[in-house]
Amino acid sequence: MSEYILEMRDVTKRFPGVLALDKAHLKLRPGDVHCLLGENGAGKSTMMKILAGAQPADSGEILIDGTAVQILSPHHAQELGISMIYQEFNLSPYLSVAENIFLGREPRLGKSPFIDWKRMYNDSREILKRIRVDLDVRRPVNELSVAQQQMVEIAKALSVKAKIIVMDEPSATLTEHELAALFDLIRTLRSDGIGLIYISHRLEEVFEIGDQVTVMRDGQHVATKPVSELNREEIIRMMVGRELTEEYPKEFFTRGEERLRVEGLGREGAFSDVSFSLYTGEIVSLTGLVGAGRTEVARAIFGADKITAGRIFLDGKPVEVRSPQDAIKYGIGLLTEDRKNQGLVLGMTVRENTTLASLKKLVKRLFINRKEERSVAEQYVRELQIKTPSVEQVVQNLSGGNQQKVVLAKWLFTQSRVLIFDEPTRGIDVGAKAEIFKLMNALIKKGVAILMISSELPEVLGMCDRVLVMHEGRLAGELTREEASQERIMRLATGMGKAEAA
Amino acid sequence: MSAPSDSTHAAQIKRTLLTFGPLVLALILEIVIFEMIGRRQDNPGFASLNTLILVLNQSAVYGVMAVGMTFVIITGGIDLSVGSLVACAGVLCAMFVHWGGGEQVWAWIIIGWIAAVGLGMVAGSVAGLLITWFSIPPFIATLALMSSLRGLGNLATDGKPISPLPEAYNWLGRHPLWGQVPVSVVLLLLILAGGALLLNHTQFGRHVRAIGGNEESARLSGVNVMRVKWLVYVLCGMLTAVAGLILSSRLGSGSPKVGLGDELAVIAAVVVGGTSLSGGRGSIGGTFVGLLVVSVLNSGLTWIGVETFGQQVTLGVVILAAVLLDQLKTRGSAF
Amino acid sequence: MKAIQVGIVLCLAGVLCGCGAKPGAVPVKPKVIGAALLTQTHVFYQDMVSAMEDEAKKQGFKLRLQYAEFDSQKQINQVETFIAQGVDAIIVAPNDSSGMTPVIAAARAKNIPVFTADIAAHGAQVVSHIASDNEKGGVLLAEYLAKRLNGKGKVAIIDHPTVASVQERTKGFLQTLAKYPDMQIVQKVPGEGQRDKAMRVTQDLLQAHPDLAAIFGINDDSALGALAAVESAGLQDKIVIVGFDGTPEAETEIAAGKALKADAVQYPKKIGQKTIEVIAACLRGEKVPPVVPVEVGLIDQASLKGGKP
Repeated sequence: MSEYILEMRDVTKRFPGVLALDKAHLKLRPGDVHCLLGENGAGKSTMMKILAGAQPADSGEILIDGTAVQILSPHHAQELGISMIYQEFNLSPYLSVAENIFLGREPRLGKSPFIDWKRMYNDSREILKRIRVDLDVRRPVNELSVAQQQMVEIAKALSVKAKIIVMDEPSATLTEHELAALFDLIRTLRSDGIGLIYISHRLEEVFEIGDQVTVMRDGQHVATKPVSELNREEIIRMMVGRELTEEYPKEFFTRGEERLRVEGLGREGAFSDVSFSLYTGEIVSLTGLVGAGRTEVARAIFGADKITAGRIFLDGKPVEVRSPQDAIKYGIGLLTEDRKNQGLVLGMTVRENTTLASLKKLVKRLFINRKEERSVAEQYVRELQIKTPSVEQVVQNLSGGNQQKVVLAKWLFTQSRVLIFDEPTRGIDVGAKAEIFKLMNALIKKGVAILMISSELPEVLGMCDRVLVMHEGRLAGELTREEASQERIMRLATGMGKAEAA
Repeated sequence: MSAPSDSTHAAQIKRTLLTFGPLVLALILEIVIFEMIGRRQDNPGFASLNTLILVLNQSAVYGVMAVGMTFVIITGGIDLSVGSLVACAGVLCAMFVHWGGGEQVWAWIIIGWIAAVGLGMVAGSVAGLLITWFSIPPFIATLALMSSLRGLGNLATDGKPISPLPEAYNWLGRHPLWGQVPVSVVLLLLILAGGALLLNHTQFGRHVRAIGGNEESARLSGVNVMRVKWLVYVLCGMLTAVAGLILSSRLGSGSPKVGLGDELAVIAAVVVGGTSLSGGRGSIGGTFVGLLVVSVLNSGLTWIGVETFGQQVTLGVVILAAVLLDQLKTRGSAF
Repeated sequence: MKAIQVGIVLCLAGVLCGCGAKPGAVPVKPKVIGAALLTQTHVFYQDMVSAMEDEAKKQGFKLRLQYAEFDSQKQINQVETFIAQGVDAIIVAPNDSSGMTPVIAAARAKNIPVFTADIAAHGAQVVSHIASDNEKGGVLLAEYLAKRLNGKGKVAIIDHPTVASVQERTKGFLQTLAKYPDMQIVQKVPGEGQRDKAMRVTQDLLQAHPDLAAIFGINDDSALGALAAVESAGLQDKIVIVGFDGTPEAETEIAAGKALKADAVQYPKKIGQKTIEVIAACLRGEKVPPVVPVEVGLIDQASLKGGKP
């Protein structure tokens, strides 16, 4: 018996023009939570795709329990005890929890074609009990929360007797509370001797749950060390390959005039009585727990959803924003939380995405001036340092950080004077994060007012001049940069601020 | 500065070749094969300018419809009502001309054209409203319209074709310009060119593609999604009416029975041309080549004496082959 | 000089019979005839085509067959292809009698003679139309009904007025029936020549006219649809149905003594053979009549028992 449950040795994978993996390696012990870190494009996902049997490696070896194996297909990977839990779940929404857990491996009544429902339900309950999750196995999964669906995925992995479980950004869509439950579950799995590979951009989680850390960069293995021997700065340095001077490059400007004011804003069933002002020269953060109504407020200001109460003032004058078109006319831009589904047209090019919101400017006698359009796009590519082979590249092929920059380019080209960033750094690696923050600074310098919605308290504290905290659809409080701390924000966000005030 | 733009030009040419190359190759192959078989049957002349014009004339009806359908499909929609609308448009125009009697034939023909195109726009507008305002899925909305329009055409004519019509009525579908090229062919080429300009070089066209690619992103980028989608169906209805006028002129009558199943033939041409049924991806150039592949196939099979049933089977195989080719291509480019 | 002569002869031939019989240096190449017919799925057309093929072989013609399968657009495309191929003659059985005018004119402009078989083309100048004497069939059926009902009773027609041959059938039927003052046509309902539609309209008909004595189905599908409706209403002993075409199914019902009592029958093989014969005559430069009627017959239970006519 080998010390390692999984060893990947000298794995190399070449795509046309790119060396995605260059003799990368990874060793996983049973009962370890092994964090795989690296910027986007470092080769983490290629490595995991090879492990899952979704892609073959060009060369290299994979050993499971010390035995060399060839992973031929995803199905084969499953048979070898490897389970993947992706950000987007592979659950069938209208089937029950139990049906999902046993999908494709339903127990039969003897040799008949009929499903042995009793056994399926019992076995499902058994598995859920093992991971201490309380769920009705007959419920369709579309009625479950995202966190609960994740639990079902994990139960599914266990039902195939997985020895190795890979979790790709499992925390991305979870609330704090749900995340705690996930960590409990991971600890249970760990004590059962299962090897976990944990991929995340949030370094705090690495320190909370990880045992080992492997850092990758440019398809190569950089280092593997126990978490206890590392600190945050070291990890970042290994990931970026250089000293990152500042994670939050905050610059201060003098506060100018009021740009945007909302009074008593409300939308039935979502939020109510929200009032605040945005001034030039500052970044204001709107924070709170997931579901507190932050995104809803942003969408309402942007005209994406109808408001049922309240007024919006721009430069002191009341404006009616009934649609995104109106918002764009008034110079309000929204960088949505969900870039892929709401921010970009993935199948279109960098050029086309950049100009989408303000094509009118490029229309000369009915037709779009292609030459001018290209030069506009090229200008933003240079200015924002978007890494793309050309402006004719389809944005689907760009990394998260570069995609976010394309969205930003789109709003810069509309000449936005108010920009709302909804979770601007989600799914973006550390290096690109700092770049986005620097761009925010540059925008403020130009007189743009910025509202930043974020769940990441360190970045809220690092980048903002003022913090607005929402709780259950209302503004629970406002803190200045000096007043703000993680603890005070959390108290307001969980509704304890009021009790304190009362 | 010139170097990068040159490289993008080269890339563009490469992309165009990659997209249309296989289809154009298939087209040439078709023509060569039919000519060869034709010669063996002592029946040469398929690969000639005259035959090309003939094929274009025969594809004018589908071609004009296919331009509108390409727009609809790129938004991620579908229009099943075109086959019925083709009949209605022809019937309406024929009714005017018939009603006008032998007097001032041209005046009545032009009135008929305007009325038919108007009808097409109204029908498209209704489809568009049902789809945007009432959020009915395009498949269902246009399926309902397909049935209603077919019924309307039959009601208006009591199920009987309207004829005889004066000879001038045949002008649109047959009259040769410059001695050889029928008006319908010129019209088809103009509409194709116009469609390509509209799709690739105007704000409207860009918005159409953005909606097909990602409707929510487009909306949040300030695209008036409802209006653009509505306009797409109006455009499709309008072009379908023009196709109906061509068909009616070619038949020399206004029949409520024509166009049965045309929606499928048109969708087939569009899909063979590389437009994705899930929206966002497609081009008028592709549609044109797709149309030619299908039309040349039909004409060629007739030319060499393959009967209708054989043609149906072959057409199915060709549609599948084209779509498979497209799939392989996208799969290939994913890496 | 020669060219002018040829031109004059061509013009004359065109004036005389529209035939493009090219005189002078006739090549050894066999004459090619393009046939754009209605459908391949009906037994009627299958019979017609097989006779055409036999006769064409006899005459040394090459026959190219295409079928519209109920699509007018496809049919004109087929005819256009024949024109482009420069065939020596074209046979059309139009899907839509009125939708062939321009394309037939286009063939004439290229001096290709066009013939219609079975179904006529309105408004188009064809050399010759070869078809069953549909009008005579209508006459035969009307006389049969008059005899059977002793010259009185209410009669309905399951009609399909868009088809020219049907118009002739009803014309002969109506003209003959007019000779009997006590027999009246109460209604003409459209059945589109399809069995399910015919059945539905007959059901309505039976509601509206409970005292109906006879139904004329303009083809066998119409008649069989009417038969189904009459039987399900339990009126098979009160109503006499007559049909047209003599399909095997109709013959079976007639022989079994059902409410369907008689059928006018066409002889599709004779139509096919006659068509080729007329074309051959035309291509030889003979004058051919503009309409060539092909005889029809009448069958009833008695004639079927006595063997096929």
